[in-house]
Amino acid sequence: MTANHPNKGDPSPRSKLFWLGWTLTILAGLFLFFGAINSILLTETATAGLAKMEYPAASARPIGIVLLVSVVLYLIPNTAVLGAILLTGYLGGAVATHVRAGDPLTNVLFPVVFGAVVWLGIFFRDARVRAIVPWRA
Amino acid sequence: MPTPSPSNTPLALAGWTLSAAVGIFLLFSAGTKLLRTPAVLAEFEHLGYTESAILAIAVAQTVGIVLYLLPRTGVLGATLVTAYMGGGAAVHLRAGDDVLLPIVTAILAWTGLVLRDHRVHSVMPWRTSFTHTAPPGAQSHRSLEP
Repeated sequence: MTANHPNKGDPSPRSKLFWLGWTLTILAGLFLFFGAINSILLTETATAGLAKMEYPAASARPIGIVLLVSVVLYLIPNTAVLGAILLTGYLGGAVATHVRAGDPLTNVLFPVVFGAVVWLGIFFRDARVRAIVPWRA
Repeated sequence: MPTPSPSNTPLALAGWTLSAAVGIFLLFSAGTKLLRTPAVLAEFEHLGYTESAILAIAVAQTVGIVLYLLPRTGVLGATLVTAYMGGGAAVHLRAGDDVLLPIVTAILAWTGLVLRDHRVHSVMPWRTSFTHTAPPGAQSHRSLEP
């Protein structure tokens, strides 16, 4: 095994794609991080948004904590894939919520695009992710 | 040196078995939606969905499962199934229901995939160095070679 593979996941870790990957990762991560903090601190924006979608008020903090844990795992390189999977589940929840509320297609697609950005972030910076996503090389 | 064949190890066999079990369960679930069984209609009403959403949801579910069961698109399919299950967890949370089933289903789907494909195993649940990417089953398989 070892003879055929370099030690690092990406043979050219400082390529432009690598930095594009990190840029997307940080942008998505920051946006979701602030979303999580909003939910945990029960800000007006977060509670009003959940109330509009008819979620129980008590669910705000658990949702924020789940999102925060997912974002942190996503930002740590060694657990980035696990984090991306958890964020996918979170964003799938957003899609389902917008579908249920009968929102316009743009609202429904926003979390979908966001999920793509989350995955592109790790796709660009890790050759091992590129080897299995979107199909196995 | 060839990559250890993912279908030849006991762990990979367990992974494919688990994947098939998850796949059958979810295809059955999609089938009941396509047939609009009374249980499905009642559930959609309970969750506050319009009946017109059933077909699109069933199609999305089926696409995810089929991609999950194909060897080359397992990760993409598992990702779509995860989003679907995240949606399931969210709408049940909203309705005040138990959210365990969709979460457990997603965990089982990824467990099946990690077991059946050592390349997924190498990045899940955390990244390992390449010297440790082959699962124990693959290593024992390799040691049997002359």
